[in-house]
Amino acid sequence: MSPRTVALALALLAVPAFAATYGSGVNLTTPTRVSALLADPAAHLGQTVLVEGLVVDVCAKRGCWLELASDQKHQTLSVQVPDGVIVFPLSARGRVARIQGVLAEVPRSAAEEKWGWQRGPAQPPAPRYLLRATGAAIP
Amino acid sequence: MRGAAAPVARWRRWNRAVHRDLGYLCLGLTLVYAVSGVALNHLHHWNPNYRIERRELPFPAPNPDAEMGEVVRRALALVGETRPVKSTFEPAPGVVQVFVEGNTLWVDLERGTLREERAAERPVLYFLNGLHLNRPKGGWTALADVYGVALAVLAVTGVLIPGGRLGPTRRGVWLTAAGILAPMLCLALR
Repeated sequence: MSPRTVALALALLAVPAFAATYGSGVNLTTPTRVSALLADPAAHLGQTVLVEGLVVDVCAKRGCWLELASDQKHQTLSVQVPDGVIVFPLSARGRVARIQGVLAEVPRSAAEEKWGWQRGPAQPPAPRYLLRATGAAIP
Repeated sequence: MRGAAAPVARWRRWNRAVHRDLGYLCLGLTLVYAVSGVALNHLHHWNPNYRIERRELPFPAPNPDAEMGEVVRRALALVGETRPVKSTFEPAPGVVQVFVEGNTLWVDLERGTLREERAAERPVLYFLNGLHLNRPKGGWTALADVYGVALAVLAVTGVLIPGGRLGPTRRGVWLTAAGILAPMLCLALR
């Protein structure tokens, strides 16, 4: 086991013990893998799920969204919160977070639709999924 | 005549006393909400919570066989970052993110660039904005509720202090109407 794996495992163990909680916190105990959510989002739409992963970006102005790294390479899950209900701190970047919320499908913006159309009219743009967080625990 | 005036005079004394003492009590919180309110009102103009410095530097292509650790070490050395690395992530092939407390690096190996984003909390404003947005929750929620009620009492007692030509039924009625009209207009134009 590499030192990085050991460090990540220790960080994951430490999350519930020392994490600051946001919103209504986290009460589910078994996390769903981000890759599993994104592989079959239709099966999880509208469900409350717990996800766990490295925070790789945070909204710098309002703290109203963050990007969570998936267990699969080069994949992330967008997490959003209503403005002011939860404010994610910038210091969450690079930390392992546990986030509870409801998986939602969001319509793509007009610009995204146009971009998708230009890339290939035969293939409509894929729907976009994000987690609407109700609570989080971030060490 | 004196008998009817006495209760009014007593009531006015009480009203003035309540307004004065609540004013003293609310001064600190009013300044907290006023300063952070203006700061948060201009989120589209600036970042009231963090001072963020960004820069982009050329990142000479490493040896094709270079491991992630080597890329990270070179990136840290290039920006003079000596604090410990929290974690790393590869958002896309050939792109490496390096997280240090208060600093994030994006190394794009294909473009040969390194983007750095240093973020530091604005010491006073970050704290005040947190209070405004009820970040502490718990007891602060209760205190903010009490403050909200106190503000309403302050507003009403303030309007009732002057009498005669400057009182609420003469000059005051126009200014009060103007103050109420502004949010009503917003509601109508919504």
